[in-house]
Amino acid sequence: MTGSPHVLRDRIDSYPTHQISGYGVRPGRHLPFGATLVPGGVNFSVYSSAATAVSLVLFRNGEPAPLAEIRIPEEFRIGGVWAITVFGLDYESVEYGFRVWGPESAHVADHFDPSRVLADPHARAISGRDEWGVPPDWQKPFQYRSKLAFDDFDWEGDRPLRIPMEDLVVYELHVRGFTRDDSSGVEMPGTYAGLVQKIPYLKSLGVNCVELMPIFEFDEFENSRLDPDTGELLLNYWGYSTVGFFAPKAGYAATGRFGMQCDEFKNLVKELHTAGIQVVLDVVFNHTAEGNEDGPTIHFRGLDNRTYYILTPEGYYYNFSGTGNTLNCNHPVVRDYVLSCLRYWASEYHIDGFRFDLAAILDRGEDGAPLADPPLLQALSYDPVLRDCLLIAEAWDAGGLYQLGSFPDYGRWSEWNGKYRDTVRRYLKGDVGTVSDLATRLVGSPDLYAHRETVASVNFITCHDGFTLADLVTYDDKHNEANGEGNRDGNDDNASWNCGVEGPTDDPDVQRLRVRQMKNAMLLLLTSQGIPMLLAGDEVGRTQGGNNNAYCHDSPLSWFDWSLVDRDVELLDFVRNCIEFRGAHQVIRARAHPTGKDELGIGYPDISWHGVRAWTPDWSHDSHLLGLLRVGVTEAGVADFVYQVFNSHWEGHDVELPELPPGVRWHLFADTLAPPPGDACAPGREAILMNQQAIRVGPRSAVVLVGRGTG
Amino acid sequence: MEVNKKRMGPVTVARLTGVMDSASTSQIHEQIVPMLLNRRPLLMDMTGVSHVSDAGLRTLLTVYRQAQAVDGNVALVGLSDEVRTVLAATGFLRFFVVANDVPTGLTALRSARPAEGSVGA
Repeated sequence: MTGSPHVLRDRIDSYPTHQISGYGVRPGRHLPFGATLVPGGVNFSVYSSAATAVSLVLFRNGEPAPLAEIRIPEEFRIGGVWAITVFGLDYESVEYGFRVWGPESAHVADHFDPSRVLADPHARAISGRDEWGVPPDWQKPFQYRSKLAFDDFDWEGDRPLRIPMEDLVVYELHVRGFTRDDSSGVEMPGTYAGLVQKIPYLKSLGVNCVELMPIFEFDEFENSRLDPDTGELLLNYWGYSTVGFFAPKAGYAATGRFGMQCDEFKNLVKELHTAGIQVVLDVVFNHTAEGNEDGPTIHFRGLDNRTYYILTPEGYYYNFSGTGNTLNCNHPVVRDYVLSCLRYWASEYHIDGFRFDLAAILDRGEDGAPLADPPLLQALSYDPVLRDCLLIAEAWDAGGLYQLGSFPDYGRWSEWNGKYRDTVRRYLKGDVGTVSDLATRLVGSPDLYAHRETVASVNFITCHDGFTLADLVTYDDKHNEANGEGNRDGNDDNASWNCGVEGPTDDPDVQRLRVRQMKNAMLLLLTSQGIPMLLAGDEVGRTQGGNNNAYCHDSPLSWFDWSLVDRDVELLDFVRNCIEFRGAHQVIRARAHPTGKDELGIGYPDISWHGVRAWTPDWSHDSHLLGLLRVGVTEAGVADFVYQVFNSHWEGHDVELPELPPGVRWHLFADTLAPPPGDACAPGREAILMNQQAIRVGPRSAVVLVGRGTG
Repeated sequence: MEVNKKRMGPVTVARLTGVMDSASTSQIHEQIVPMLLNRRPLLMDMTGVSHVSDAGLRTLLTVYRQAQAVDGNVALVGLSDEVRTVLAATGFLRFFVVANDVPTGLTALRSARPAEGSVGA
């Protein structure tokens, strides 16, 4: 080859065509929406189906009065999209918004209000809540300001990890709460950067996927209030109320006050990936922070109220979310919005998956009724960019739509399995009539997901919403007085048991029982087929003092207490061993539901059920004991036998063991009645049982055995 | 932003004074990058830098990448607490040799191996 290829050094569209308000401008690019750096300037694009005029309002960082207001010429509009390129902006020191005018004879459901400046729904960064907990000046007319964000992060070859779903162990955590407590010892507590410093802990625990509670920009001061009794400031701590769908929460970044939350969050993702840990985001598309008729106008309401929200014919907000409004997800424009948002997080931030809060709302149509073939879910399921992303539904909503097992999944979605949680809790506390249902939960809930694989079921016993595991075994009733609502909020039906005393106790017997019950729960969870999810802190017995709805507490009540990591080594080691054990036995992680047939041709079905007598399960109403034998192969191709016995009876039982093939002997992995280190050993170091015919399973205890050749 | 350059043995020392932000990026870039082309290690004395913005960070990273392209090393010296926090929180700190003052920076550069990039690995 000779010569050099022609390189475009300059562009025709890098020059202004008009001057408005002192800025050189030209007709903008209509796509992509939002603000994009282009040669010499910034391109702004915003959609409204009915706006009659739009102006771009520019501010210098933090200043109350605008720097300039640029009315977007009518001739710059194509369809309902207003786009303008502005030259000569200092993109680092500028914040922006839009002022939008509607028709004079507006529809009853329109909420155009040109007295306000609106945030850009596509803003890649938002300022206004740059530092967590700094009280805002509510007198400011424009609270949430759109910012530009760089998209040239140095990923150093990083990409989403694509860990096989069956190998995942998910760990749900709150970014701030995880390291905010002084005991965390990190340099920048409560931030993305702080979380980076705790990656070695996550690795040592053995989890390989973190599910982050909402990190899209939200306002912790939304509905903030003082507890009338204690004077404590109660905040929107959990953040299930999105202000900016494209913007990472600035207040979670140590660098938020410098506007560098995007880089800081990307660095967190990169570091987690380097450690082999996936990142799933908890996303809230069922409603927005604009609330009901009395709520603030942030963006959608003033841009296009009728497009973005599900409304009654009179123009009132339907409230299927329980929080004031409902996003109109299956409207074509909103569907594209959600899709482009998730594509952005998957591609720009290398996010591995999404958990959708109150996902049943996503299949409601514009009249609120559920759709048989909801366009949004279909689009997400088949999207090319999202192809490898986990999609996890919380398959119900606050409007009474409950779709566990019937959520439109397109063979693509997993679900938070609420039935797993409820069954296991009831079984553990000793309820009768639970054993046969427990069996179904242990093998990936084929009653719910028969046409799919076990990975459709995200198994959990606890999550952010409800009791922690320690509280589940310490309280019969919720204790939400600190929420300032007279203990009326939060779920009343917790299927919890306090082990004999409500709250903390010095009684050593009760204490031992509680630890055992936590071990039983963890062992059950981590030896069930399906994707296990742990709530951060449960591995060290974190308590919230019986509060099962700690959404408003930015305090030690909801923070991870790292002193527990040194104090509660017993439970932590137990959980570590269970996670490692799961990793060592693909028969527990198998994607396929077991068939009950001798799939390997070695004389044993892949699953068999047992009771006090081997091969004789007790399915009766009063039964509390269940044994199951899983038979598969190890990754090395050797036959693998895993025998699990769960006993929620208050008495111990001598349990007959199924006979193994010649040369294979039972070895003990875990016995939750035994004190450490006998409660669970390091996988691969299981000791051979002296008695190969039977094992004593203690009261409210569980054992797990492996069949291994003796040499 | 002011950039003063001098040679200290095998090392080029650039002393920066002012604010590193979008307004000064092109200036820094134009003055610093040529210093890398002679393949000498570069020490950036940031004692006089009061603030590094997002665009400023990117300039630093560009300098690092340019140095990497010629197997050079870059040391940052005299970072204020704020700048260090920003660099640490965003993960940029680990790209650089970091020292408190110029003499230790020079020593650190002498013992540093050539920049090890993993870009596109």
